[in-house]
Amino acid sequence: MKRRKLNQTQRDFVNGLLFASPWIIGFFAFSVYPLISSLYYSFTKFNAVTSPEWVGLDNFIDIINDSLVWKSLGNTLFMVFVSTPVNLFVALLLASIVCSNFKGRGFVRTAFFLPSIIPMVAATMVWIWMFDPTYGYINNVLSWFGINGPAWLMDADYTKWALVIMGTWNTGTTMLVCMASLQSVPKSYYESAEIDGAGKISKFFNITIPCIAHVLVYQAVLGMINAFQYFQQVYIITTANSGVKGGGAAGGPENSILMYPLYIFRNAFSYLKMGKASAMAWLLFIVVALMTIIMTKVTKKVTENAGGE
Amino acid sequence: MKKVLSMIMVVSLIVLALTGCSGAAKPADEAAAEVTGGEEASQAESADNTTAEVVTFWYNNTGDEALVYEKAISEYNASQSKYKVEGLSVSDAQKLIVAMSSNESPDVIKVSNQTVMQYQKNGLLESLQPYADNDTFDVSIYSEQSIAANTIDGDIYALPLDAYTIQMFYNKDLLEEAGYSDPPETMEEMYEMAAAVTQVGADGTIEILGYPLFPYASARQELIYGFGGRWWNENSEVTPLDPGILASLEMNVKFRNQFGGKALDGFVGTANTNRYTEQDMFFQGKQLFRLDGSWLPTMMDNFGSTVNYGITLIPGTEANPEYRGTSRYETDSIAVPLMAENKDGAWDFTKWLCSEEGAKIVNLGNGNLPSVISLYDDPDIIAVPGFAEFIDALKLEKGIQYPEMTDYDEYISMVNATLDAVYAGTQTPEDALNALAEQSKNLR
Repeated sequence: MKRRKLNQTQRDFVNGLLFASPWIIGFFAFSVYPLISSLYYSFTKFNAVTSPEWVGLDNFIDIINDSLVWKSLGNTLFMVFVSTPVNLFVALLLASIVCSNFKGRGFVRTAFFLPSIIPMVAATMVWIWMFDPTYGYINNVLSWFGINGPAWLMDADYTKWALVIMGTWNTGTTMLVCMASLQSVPKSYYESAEIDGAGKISKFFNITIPCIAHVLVYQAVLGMINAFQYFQQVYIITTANSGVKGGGAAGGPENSILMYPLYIFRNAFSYLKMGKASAMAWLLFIVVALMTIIMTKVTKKVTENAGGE
Repeated sequence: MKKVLSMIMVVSLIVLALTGCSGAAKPADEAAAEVTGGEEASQAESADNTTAEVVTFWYNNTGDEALVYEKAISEYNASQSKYKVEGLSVSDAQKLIVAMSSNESPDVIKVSNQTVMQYQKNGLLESLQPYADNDTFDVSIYSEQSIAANTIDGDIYALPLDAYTIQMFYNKDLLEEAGYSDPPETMEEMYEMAAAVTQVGADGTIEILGYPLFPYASARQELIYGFGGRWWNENSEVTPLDPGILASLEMNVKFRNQFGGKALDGFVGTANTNRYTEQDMFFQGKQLFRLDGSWLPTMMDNFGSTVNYGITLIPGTEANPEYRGTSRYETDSIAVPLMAENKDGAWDFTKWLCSEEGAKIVNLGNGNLPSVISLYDDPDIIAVPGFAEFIDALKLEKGIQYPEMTDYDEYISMVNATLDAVYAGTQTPEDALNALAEQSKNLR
């Protein structure tokens, strides 16, 4: 039988596929395969070393009955719905400052951005010292105003707020994005508003926010996804506090900073319950996907009307 | 021509991309040697490099402590020619799990005896009983509690290397200022002294802490054991409703109510941040009682602390003075993973390292108590600050062993969360322990 020759388009496609094959192979090996494996493990009893044993839906039932799963989800949602908007607000505020024209603007921009490039582990260790109830800088500054600061990382009422404060320090990247979008707002809009007698606040809410809304929504979605993966800081804090209150507990004082990813980690590597951890990971994926879809649909109208000329 | 060049480029790209991947599992020593990021690989000397079988040994100590293990490895390698041990400092427990799951397991591991229990329950360890039986290895060189700490279902799964127990350190000067000449022998006496010594500043912060609330790990264990309380029984069943636990928590809450829970949390938070540093609260003379381990005197010496301290047994109670001296008992243990390649070499090194000769190097080098009975009276060991008192306590054999539980870590996490709720005042001790009993009833 005569071999059918490929036409030019088909040949281009095959060549393109071959060039992309290293990435494709890597994607299947390091993304797709682990994804499918974890789905399988979620239906097994598996300690990560010996052979998995099929247990059906037992892991999912265990998750539903595990109060710590719901606690960790609640803690994570706190970060999603509190820390994310706070960080966005701070980033926008800093961006507004550095967009102004003043002497030393370059230095201020650099100073605001620098925290973003400091390794999170090292930064968290420093923050643990900053939050020290007796000698920490935070409580020292509060004492200037006559306020007796709380025990922060030792007090279940304040641990998450300590994390929120830590998060605001690290908004450099978001600040840059906001800064770029602020600079894209046409100056003619502000000039027209000034002529009509609009004040600064009115200009901010009626011109700036609508014009950069699409950027804010995008940053909010990214921030939410990151908040759902909040792990490094709480892992360092709970490990550093081991031997004291809550240190042996899965997630800080009264498990107040037990985030969902941290609980997945504990189940996987401390309790050797990889099956349950896989099941939790899949549930997280579903929750994040749903929230992203909802967020996108709800804010669609806002982003459609956003942007400048 | 264009087609040929395209194919060459594609193949080159694929080969480059796959260069970092290896289809065959590497031997543990090769894999270990490639690991970076603060780990110290050693190539210890051997009498005969060419024919000696390699035995890989992972220990979780770093820095100066790791050098002690390397010294022990060198001594072992020089003492025989059949095996060559290669040590590696691996402080990340997760790395060990990953290594075991990917057929790159080391031959010998150093872990706590509690980890030995957990790993054995998950089917990850080789039983050393057949090796000990074949060699007619004499386990009576170890204290009974150190062998018991590594025996599961009647079989030895690890040999003990170091021993840990907790004693009460007390500040003699603070005690004398409060009008007491001797340390307490009962919890009731301890409370009275603690209340007398605790100082609260004008701003409500605690300046000197009397009651041994820090470290909380000791409050969870020794403060409870002194009341006769137990978190598990001899059959490794959880017992959160033990009356001794309730009695201890009630005294703890009484102290917190007297001096303010939030203020005490502030002190403990600072104590934790500065733990084992020059600003350690006990080293600075700000703690009256401190339940801690045999390493504390050496640390105090190293930091130049001038605190006039004493060491005594954990108090019992007036009703049960026989509880005095009860403490947790742990060992650093040497075990052989089930996936080890060279199990015979692993056993040979394990029994040497945990014998008097090998153990002395590690015990002295890292300032840990011995598990080998003959080292209890070794003049070099006794000369370490505080060791004489701790060894006297070890001889009482009153150590509380870890339970043989698969879900031990999970149980302790629940216990700590329960204690948090009690200390914060959100639950009474009774309600909290009842809730814990309900929560932990299905743990294995």
